[in-house]
Amino acid sequence: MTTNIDAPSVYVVDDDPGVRQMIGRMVRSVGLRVETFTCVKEFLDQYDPKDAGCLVLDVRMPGMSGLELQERLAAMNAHLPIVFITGHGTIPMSVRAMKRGAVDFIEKPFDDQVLLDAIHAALAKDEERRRSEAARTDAQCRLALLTPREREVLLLVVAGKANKQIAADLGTTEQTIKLHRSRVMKKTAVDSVAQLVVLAQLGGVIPPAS
Amino acid sequence: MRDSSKTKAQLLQELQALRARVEELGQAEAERRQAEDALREQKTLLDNIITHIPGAVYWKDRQYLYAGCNNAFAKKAGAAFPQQILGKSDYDLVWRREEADYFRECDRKVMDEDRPLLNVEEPERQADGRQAILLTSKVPLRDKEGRIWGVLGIDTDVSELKRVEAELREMHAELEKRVQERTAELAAANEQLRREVAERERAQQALRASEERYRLVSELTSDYAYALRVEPDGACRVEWVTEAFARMTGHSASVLEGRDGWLAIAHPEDVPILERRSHALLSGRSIVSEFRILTADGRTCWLCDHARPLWCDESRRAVRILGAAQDVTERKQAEDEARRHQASLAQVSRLSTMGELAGQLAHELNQPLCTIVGNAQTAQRLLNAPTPSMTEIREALADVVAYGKHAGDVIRRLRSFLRQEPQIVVLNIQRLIEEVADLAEADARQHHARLRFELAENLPAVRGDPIQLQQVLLNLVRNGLEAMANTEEPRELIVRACSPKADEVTISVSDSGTGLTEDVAARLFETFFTTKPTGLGLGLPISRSIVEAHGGHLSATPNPDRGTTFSFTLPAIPEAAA
Repeated sequence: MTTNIDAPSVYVVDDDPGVRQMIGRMVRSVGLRVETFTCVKEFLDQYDPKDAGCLVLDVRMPGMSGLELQERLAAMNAHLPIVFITGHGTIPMSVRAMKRGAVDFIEKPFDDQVLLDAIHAALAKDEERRRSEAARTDAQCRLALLTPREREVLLLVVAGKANKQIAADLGTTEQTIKLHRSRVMKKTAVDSVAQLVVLAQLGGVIPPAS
Repeated sequence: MRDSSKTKAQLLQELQALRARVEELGQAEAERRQAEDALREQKTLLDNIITHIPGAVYWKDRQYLYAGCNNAFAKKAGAAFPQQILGKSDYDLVWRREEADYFRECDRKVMDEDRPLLNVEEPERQADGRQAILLTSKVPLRDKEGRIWGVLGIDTDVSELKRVEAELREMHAELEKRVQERTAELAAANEQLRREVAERERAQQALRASEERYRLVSELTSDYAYALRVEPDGACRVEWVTEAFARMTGHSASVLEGRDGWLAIAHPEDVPILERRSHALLSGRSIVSEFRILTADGRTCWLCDHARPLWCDESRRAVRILGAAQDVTERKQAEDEARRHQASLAQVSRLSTMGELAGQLAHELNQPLCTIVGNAQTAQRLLNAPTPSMTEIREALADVVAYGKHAGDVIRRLRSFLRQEPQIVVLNIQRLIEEVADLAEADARQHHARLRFELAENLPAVRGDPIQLQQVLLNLVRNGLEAMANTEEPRELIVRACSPKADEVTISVSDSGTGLTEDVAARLFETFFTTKPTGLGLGLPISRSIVEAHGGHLSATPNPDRGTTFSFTLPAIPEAAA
C-alpha cells in the first residue's frame, strides 16, 4: 500500500454517492490510491495533466457528461486512460467511447474483478505511456549534446555505413570519423550501434522501425 | 256883442262847432300821446332786449367806429358800460390785432357788398384774457332811404359749447375706441367660441368615427356587436346591432330591448349571470360574461359577451351600452368534453408514459444494485486480505444494507404506480377508441403516419376498465407506429373494431411495417424481450395480461401484404343485459 506522491491515482467521477463510495472502497481494497469526484467540473478543477493514473467515469451525469469530459481531455492533450461505467449503455455510445481511446466500457452492475482488471489495464497503459514519454525525453536530451558534425556522423552510422564510407561521404579521413563516432557513443552513453539506432528512433531523429 | 246881429241860434251853432273841434283836438292829442307811449314802450322793450339777451350786440358806422352796444359786449370788450366804447374802433379794444383785422374785413364785406354774414365762428380775445370762440352774425344797417350806414353784429360765446363739443367728440372717440375694443374682445370671444364649437364638432366626429371603428372592429372580431341606449328607467333601446345577430340567433334585435334585455332569450340556468351583467353595466362597470341563449330554432348557443357602459356623470347613470359577443358554443362544448374526460385522459396519458417511467425506475434500481454488489464483493475481498480493515468492511456492509433498502423503496414505488384497482364498467367501444384517438393522432403525427379508424356500427357493449383497455390500445398503436418507422411513406395505421360474433368484440391495429421475423414472433409476449433500443419488453406482456384479465385474448398475425396486425377480443355483454 504505497501512498508516495508519484504513485498513480484512480480518479472516480460519478454523481451517485453509493456507487462513487463503493468504487472508492473497492479500489482502495486492492491497494490503489483513489480520489472521488461528484461531477466533471469538480474533477477538472483539481486535475493536473502531469498526474499519473486513470479515470473511472460514469457516462451519464448531470452537467458535463463522461463522454464530454473525454473529448475535453483529448482537446487538452491529456492522455489519462478512461474506464467508462454506465447504467444502461447503448452500443453506439460505447463505440464512440472506445473509438476515442477508452480502455473499457462497463455496464452496471458489474463484477468487481471486471472493474479492477480494467483499472489495472488503464494504469498499465498510463505507466507505459509515461515510460515511453520519459525514454523519448531522455533520448532527446542525449541527442541534444551532439554537435552538428557528430549528428551527421550519427545519421550515417545508424544507416549502417562503415567508417570508410562515411569518411568518403563527408570528405574527411577515416581517422576523424572514428574520433567523431567514439564521441557520439560516449555522449549518448550507448555501448552498441544497435542501442544507438534505438536511441535515434526514440529521439525522433530517424523514423521508428515499422 | 259885435255880431249881435248874429242870431242866438247862429251863435249856438258856432259854439257847438267849436266844442266839437276841441273835442276833436283833444282826441288827436290823446292819440298822439298814445302813439308816443307805444313808441316809448317799444324802445324800452328793444333796449331791454338788447341789454338782456345772452349774446353781445353792437353796431358800428361806416367808419367802422362803434355806435352802440349792449352790456354784454361792453363787458367782454373791457368797458364798464356801453357808452365807453362809443366812437372807438376795433383796434381800440382788447382783441388781438389780427382779430381786429379780421373783424374789419368782415364789416367791410357786409357794408360794401351788402351781404349779411351769418353764424361765422371766429376767435376773439376777451377782456379777461380768455381766448373765446364766437358765433357771429353781422347784417348791414340802413337809413329811411335804404342807404347802408353801418353794421349790426350779434356774438354768442360758443367757447363752452365748443369745449363741450370737443369733450363730447373726445368722449365719443373714447367711446368709439372702447366699443371697438369691446367689439374686438367680443370678436375674439366669438372666435374662441367658434373654435370651441368647431373643436366640439371635430370631437363629435371623432367620437362618431371611433364608434364606427368600434363597430367595424367588433364586427370583424366578434360574431356580432351592438349599441344600446339606456333610458332613465333602465330600459334599453337598440341603437344598432350588426346583422350577424339575427343570422346567429334567429331573433330580431328588438328582443334586446326593454328592462330585461337578454333575459328574454337567456337559458333559464344562466339568468343569474345575466342579472349580474345587467347590474354591473348599469352601475357603470364593464363586464365580460359567458352565458347561454336559446336561438329561435331552439338550439342552445353559448355567448361570450364583452360589454362596456358609457357613463354620464351629469345624470349619474349609464346612458349607453356598447358590446360585442362571440359564439363560443364549440369552445364551450370542447371545454365541457375536456372537463368530462380530464381525469380519465390524464390517467391515460400518465399510463402512456409508463414506458419512459419504467426506464427511469430501472435506472434507479440499477444504481443501488450496483452499489450493493460492489460493496459486497469489496467486503469479501477485504476479508481475504492478510490484515482486514474492519472499518472498511463495516462501512461496505452498512452500504449494502442501506442501498438494499433503497432498492426496496424504488420497487415499492414502482409497484404502487403499477397497482391498478380495475374499475369495471359497461363500456361503449366506439367511445373508448374515440377517447384514445387524440393521443394516438398526436403520436401518428410525430411518426409522419396516418391513422385510420374503421369502426363497425352498433358494436355491442363490453365490461371492463376503460383506462386499462385504453392503455392496451395505445400501446398497440405505438408499437405499430414504431414498426413503420423505417418504411417508406405514406405510412398508415388502421384501427378496426368489429363484432364478428355476437358475444365478442374484436379490436385490431394493423401496421404496414416490415413485419415480424419468426424469432421475434415467437418471443413477442416474453417479458423483457424487446427489439427497440430503448424498449423494456414490458408493453406487450402487460397488454396481454390486461386483455386476459378481461376474459379476452391478444394475438399478432402477419398481414397478407406487409406489416402485422395485433388484435384483441373482449367478451360482449348480451344485448338484453346491456
